[in-house]
Amino acid sequence: MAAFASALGILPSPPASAYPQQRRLRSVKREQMQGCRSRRCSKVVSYYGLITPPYKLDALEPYMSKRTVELHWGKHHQNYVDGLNKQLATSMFYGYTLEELIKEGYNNGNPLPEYNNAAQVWNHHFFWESMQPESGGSPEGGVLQQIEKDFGSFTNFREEFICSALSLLGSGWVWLVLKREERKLSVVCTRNAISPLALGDIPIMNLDLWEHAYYLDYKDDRRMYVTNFIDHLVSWHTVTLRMMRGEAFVNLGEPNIPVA
Amino acid sequence: MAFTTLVVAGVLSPRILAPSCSLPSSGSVFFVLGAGGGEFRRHGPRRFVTPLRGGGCKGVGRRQNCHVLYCANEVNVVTEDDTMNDVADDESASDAETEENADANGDTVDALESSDPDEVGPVTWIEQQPLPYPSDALEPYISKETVEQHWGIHQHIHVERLNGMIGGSEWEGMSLGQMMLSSFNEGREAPHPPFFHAAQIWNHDFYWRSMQPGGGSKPSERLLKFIKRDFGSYDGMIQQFMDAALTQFGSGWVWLSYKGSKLPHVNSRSPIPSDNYGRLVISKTPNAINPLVWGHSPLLAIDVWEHAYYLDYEDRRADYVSTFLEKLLSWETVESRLKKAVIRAIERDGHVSRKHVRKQLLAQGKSRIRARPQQANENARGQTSSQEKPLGV
Repeated sequence: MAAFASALGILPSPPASAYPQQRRLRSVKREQMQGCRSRRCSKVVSYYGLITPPYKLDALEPYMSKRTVELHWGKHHQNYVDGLNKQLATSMFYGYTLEELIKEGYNNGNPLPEYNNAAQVWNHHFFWESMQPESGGSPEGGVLQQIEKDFGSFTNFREEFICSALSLLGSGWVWLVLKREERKLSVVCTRNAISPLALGDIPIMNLDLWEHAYYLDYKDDRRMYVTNFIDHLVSWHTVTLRMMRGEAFVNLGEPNIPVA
Repeated sequence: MAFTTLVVAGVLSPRILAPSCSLPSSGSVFFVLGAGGGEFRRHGPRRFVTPLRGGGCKGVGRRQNCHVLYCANEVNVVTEDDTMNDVADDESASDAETEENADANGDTVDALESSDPDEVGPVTWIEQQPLPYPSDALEPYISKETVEQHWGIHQHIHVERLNGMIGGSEWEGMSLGQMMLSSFNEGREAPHPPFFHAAQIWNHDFYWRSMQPGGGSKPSERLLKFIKRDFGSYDGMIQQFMDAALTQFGSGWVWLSYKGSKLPHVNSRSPIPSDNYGRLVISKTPNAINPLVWGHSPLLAIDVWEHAYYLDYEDRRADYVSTFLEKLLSWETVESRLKKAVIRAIERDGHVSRKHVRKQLLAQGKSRIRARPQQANENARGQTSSQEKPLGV
């Protein structure tokens, strides 16, 4: 259950060092599992499942067609989950949570084989939740204040997001992240499956720039895709929730005193 | 074992593999740095790292001597100090032959570069090559819509961006292949901005020409021999190709290329001359990288960026790749490229196998007027390693 809850990202997952006995418990579980095989008792297994998006598959029309969501979620995301489960069955990372897999699998820039699948599962889940039918526009309240503080204005942020997305070469993601050291919001692009979690920041919202996400609807017109996402699909409610959670880890109220 | 090449008495005609190989009319003054026309050796004065003795790089222990870098995408990228001279060599050698050579594929060498310096306004330094077949010729395997989108719009965007980027820069006026190799920045750091677009244009041109409507039959006997030697069997090669295509994570390309050394690593050179016969290798590259920057000679390319197959096959990359291999691939093109690749490797590395030398001697021996038959036999048998035979002696 804890694995699922962490996969959902609802319960805050504490850093691995906080519960050192969790690792030992997990290895005990594995031994029990192996020990149990000869006797008849219930096996404890851990695996990842695919979570449905919080809206119907055709709810994002006309900005993202039903066929795209069917393929993107039903085939690509599902393949990542299946691939991850297959890999983990014989890997030393068996039983790790998704966030742990990402942080440890990243291996400081030289990703291990489990990293790609795990990160893509996490990223896509994050992506479905970052969207909402008939949303978009500009945020309200605290998020708007923070954006205005960190980007100057919402329009600036929007332009920066779109430019960043267009400057990415190849496959990747564009994120709104809350940076820990700088204590501010910022737009970053990452290639392939790299996640800001692995880089140590707190992601707030993301957009899939792999071609499978937009090719059926927009073909090569990436600008239209990103514009539609920002104007019509991004779910500022989810962004607010994530900011609230992020503030538990980053003290945004502290003044940023420049060094020397 | 050398690929049997037809040696034309006189000048060998090397062809560089860059589809756009015409130089601006002002001449090839750009990178003829000590290339002294012809006799260029790989281990020239520009090499700063002494090559290892005893058979190439042996792995992590030799990191400080070994200039093989490992990127996160498992592609071994080797820095080549002499890529530029390489290109210069090709360019200066091919310059003389540009007029008389017609490309085996029927590629037109003209209209690839409108390098008229008097032109003002939006200058098209680089243009993409036209498709060698109509846009619906690859139906039903690749739809007309895909071809028109892929070639007409996607590749065209790269051309536009490139042309916008290079005006007034050091890459202005270069040919596409030169630009690609010189902006690669040797793999240590990120390539210069024009690399991505130049390489994508080159790669796509290469890809379109690797296909033909009604292609996909088995390769010829000679090519099959190569394949069997290097991959075990034709099916083994297909299997390896499919694996590479399916495991390329993110956007990229899969290549069959010819490399000058039989050792399996990306750009290893063995000090043992007999190791340096060419072999075929399959490599997968991320985004826009292609094996030309590693010194290989690509023979065939398949685009596994998602835009290449998403409209027709949606997410079924395996179907796309197997259809490409079975129904679209042009083995004739591969074979002609292989011939050129062998010639290029010989020219570049100065290595000629004994069989090749023997053939040359025989050819020369046959063409000589034999006053004394004994002398002719002696000379034919005496296998000197030098290619030069004093004629008329």
